Amino acid sequence: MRLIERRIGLLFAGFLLCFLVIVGRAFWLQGVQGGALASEATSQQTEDVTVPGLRGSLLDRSGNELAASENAVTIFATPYQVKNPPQAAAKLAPILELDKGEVLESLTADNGFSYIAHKVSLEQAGRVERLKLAGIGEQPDTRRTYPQGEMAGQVIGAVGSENQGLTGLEAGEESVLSATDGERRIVRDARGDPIRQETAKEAEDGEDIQLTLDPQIQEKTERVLAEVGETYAPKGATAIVMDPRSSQILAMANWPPVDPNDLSSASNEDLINKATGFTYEPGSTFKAFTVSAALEEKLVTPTSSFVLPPSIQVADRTIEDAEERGTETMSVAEILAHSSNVGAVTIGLEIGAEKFSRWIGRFGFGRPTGVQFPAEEQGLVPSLDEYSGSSMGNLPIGQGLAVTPMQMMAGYAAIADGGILKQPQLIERIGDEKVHEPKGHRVIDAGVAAQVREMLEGVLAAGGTASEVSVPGYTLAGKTGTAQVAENGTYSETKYVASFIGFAPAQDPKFLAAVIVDQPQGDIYGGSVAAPAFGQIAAFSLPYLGVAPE
Amino acid sequence: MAVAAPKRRTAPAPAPSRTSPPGKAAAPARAPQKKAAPARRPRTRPTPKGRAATAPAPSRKSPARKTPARKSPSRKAPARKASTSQAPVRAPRRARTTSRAAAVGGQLIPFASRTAVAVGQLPDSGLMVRLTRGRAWIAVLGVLLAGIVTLNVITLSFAASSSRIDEQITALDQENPILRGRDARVNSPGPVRQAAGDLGLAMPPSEDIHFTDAGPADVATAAQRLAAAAGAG
Repeated sequence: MRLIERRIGLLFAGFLLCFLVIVGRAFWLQGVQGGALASEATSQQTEDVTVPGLRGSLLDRSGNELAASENAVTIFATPYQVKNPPQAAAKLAPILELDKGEVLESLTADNGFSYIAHKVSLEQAGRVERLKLAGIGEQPDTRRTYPQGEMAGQVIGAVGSENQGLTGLEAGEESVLSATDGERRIVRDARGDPIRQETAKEAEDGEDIQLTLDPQIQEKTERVLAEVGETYAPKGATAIVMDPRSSQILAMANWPPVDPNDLSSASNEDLINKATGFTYEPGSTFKAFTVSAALEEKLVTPTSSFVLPPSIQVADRTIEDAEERGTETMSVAEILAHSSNVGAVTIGLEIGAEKFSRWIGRFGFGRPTGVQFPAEEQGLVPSLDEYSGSSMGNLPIGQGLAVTPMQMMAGYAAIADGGILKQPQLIERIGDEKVHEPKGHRVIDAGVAAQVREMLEGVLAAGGTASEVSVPGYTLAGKTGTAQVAENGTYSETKYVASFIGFAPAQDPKFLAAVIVDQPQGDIYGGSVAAPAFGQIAAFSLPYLGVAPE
Repeated sequence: MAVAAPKRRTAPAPAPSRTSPPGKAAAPARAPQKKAAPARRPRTRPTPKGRAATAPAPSRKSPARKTPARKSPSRKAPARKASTSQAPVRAPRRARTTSRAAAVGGQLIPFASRTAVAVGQLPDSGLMVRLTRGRAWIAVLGVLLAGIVTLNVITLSFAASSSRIDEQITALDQENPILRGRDARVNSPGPVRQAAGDLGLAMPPSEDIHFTDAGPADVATAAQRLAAAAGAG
């Protein structure tokens, strides 16, 4: 009996001892080392992960992405943890498409942290992860891609290494497109498998922007410009296509093109969207506004005749036509069709400096059009008090002032759309919200606009400066321009800007386009360099837009 | 351990005065174990005999089973009655002076006290007595423990699978923009034109494109042609 009790006593003592040991150990672990162990466990078990917000996409009018963001990964190294750096570099380099020496340099850097590759695709990151290399880590990131490559490259623009907009709409619409990163806390079990995820801060994606650009017309316009570039090797070229009824821009192309995916070979000048950032003297394309002003002032009618000498003297300037001729009688319509400088200056003088200055302002020259594009140039228009004695010998023929192609388009859109000047529209939708169509305001009477349109048909008719251009089934109207480039206070004899702005169908325009070629080589005339390009764009766009032949 | 404890205590208990002969009252701990067998009989009448085997004194337990049913209401009754009897008096005052939340809180107090009483009586309930008298409670305890462990395991596995699903969602969310980009690349005009060209398709010259003005007759004609084509196909 006693034996049993002793055994029970011993057992009890044993249990008590074990219990005391356990209690002591528990006290040691929880009481003494508790804080340190808890923080260590937390750092092992919980991981705060940055959840990058995705920058908003830029879409064409069909909803195709022109610029998009996708998740990516930045690969970094903790050099002192990397075992056998040469071997690790040999494995990493082909996956990351980097030079082996470059990777090795990162892996053997003196500091405790070095980047190996930025904005690597998730597929590449997965392959790196599967290597399970010690000391190689990944940071979540996003990267910007431009699925359509060069299409509308200058318009779309590009972003920097921190995904901030640098040029084009990427910069102009930064506040809409930019995203805010979030944060997620992941709790892992002993095996490292996640057992709980908590969103500490929700990531906010940027809003998408849908543009008015039509991918087919944009692509066609760019191909035509590429042909112009190849043929005439100009310094640069731009083309804009617009629906004059809504002022929506259907295409905005530049040459030389740039691919926002790789800007390494692009110069700063190449990145400029010439449609809004290039200022030039418009030359003869400006004559349509001179004639419009005269018609609106009821100083002339389309049939009013002028006896035009071979040249005209205004102050210290002698103005002649491009082609030598004797004294001729020309109607206003013929002045436009033959692009007579003497005739246009004569009409300008009829209007007078004060009224002419006011008309330049009414058509929107000298100030930005308001198109939703950053850093739009406003051109250079002399104010009335800046006029010299010869100003009225220059301005009516588009010299002595600088405009942007977009300003010219807006002015011609007013003529095409019955005299209403509207702000050109490039953005159709921001997020789910449709951008309101600009209402515009009347600058000339609808009847005057119709008269100008009719007169501009003559430019493409037989004897006109662009008579070789036609689109079967459609009546085209427009105006050529061949302007000398002003250099060091004088006009260059070798450098020209060839341009053409036109629309169709002539009396009910549904298509408006401008082609401006800066300093073409070989040929310099708007009628032979720019107008054929316009014809090609019109030949594609009119049927594509469903405009029935007349 | 828990099984042995009551047995030791039951040995010196004066229970034999009711269930066993006096001579066996001072029997060692094993004796009541053997006598536990007859205690099963009273399952039809569990309380008195069951108690007799374990309870130290019938004088304490019997009232606990019988009288509490009467006494405890009688003890609690004043409290309940006080609350119910005062309620008509207090209600108008509360309506004027206290919020609705306070009134709800007031109603919770009697409920809480009833619950406390019920929980307090649980150890003395017939079910508990029946369970703890035999060895079945060990199995019950085992099952309960196993259940708790299983619940924990299930909860953890749910959390893990939820986390895995979260990861899958994240992966799919990340894949979406990549696929959209791929779609945009494939559908861009260049590749489409190229593919069309490979198929021998080309944009016709503008003069070759003809537009027709559709009238009611054209619709009927189109419908007939479609039907004919469908029939031929």
